[in-house]
Amino acid sequence: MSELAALRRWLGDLRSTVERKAEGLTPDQLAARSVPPSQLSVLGLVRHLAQMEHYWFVLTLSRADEPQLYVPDGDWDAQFRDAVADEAVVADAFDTWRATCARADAVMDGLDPADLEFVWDPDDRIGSVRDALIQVLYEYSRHCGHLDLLREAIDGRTGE
Amino acid sequence: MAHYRTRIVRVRWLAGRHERHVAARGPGPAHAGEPAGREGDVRRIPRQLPAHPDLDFNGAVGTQECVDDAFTTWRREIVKAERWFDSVSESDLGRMLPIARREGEEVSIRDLVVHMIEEYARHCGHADLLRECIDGRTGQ
Repeated sequence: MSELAALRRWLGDLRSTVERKAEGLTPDQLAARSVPPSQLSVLGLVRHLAQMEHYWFVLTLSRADEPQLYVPDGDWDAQFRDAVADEAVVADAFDTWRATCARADAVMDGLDPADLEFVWDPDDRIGSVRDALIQVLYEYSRHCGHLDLLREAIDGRTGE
Repeated sequence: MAHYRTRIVRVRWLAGRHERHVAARGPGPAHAGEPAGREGDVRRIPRQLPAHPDLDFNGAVGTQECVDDAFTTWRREIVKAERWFDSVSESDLGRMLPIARREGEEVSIRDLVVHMIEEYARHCGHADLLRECIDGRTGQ
């Protein structure tokens, strides 16, 4: 298995974890905050992961000229703050995340295994295609850790 | 919300257990075994050891001795892991290693390393919320 295929398989597993952690929750549960004054919620994390996939795959690797997702006028807190218990907000978050994952997959379909070596900024800790993919896995894993405890707090459900 | 907060606080006890768990999953030579040198489809690292999979958490109690032991053990395993990493070259990443205590199962060095990043990151996510629960501290 190539390195690119292995990294993609890890990413697929982590996306599935997000689906499992959010499965069956009501809008109220999805928007429930962790501990006051924290704004962290399952719904906010889904919005943030959509933003993160979009940033790395669409804006950075594809150099698309689009505004960031869920960062209106540079307001980074909006991803979490505006994740409210509303059916439309919930539907938008999951639709946007899944659509962005599909766009990211299309970007990765266009990569050759050798493209992992491509460096656009040798001075940046995340300055190559490989670094970007590892960073995405790291982001997903850390946020899955948040989802683990959020879900356990909501209804006691645990597991991978 | 009060109920919700209580549920979060219930998991506070995990905080001291964290380091023990990470130390138990170290990728040092004792865990990785000798290289088998076979390429092919990659099998995943098992998420739990067959015997006493919860011992690293259940044995984590709030005593100075237990805390000292956890951090000492964790840091010692890091030193062993770093030494092992020093012996691995870029061209070794696809090499298969037998998995300790898993008869006949193997993992590539690349998957082992990515798995360690995933384990640390996910548990750092747990540590984020545990620490915020304990004293409100947030950030990377």
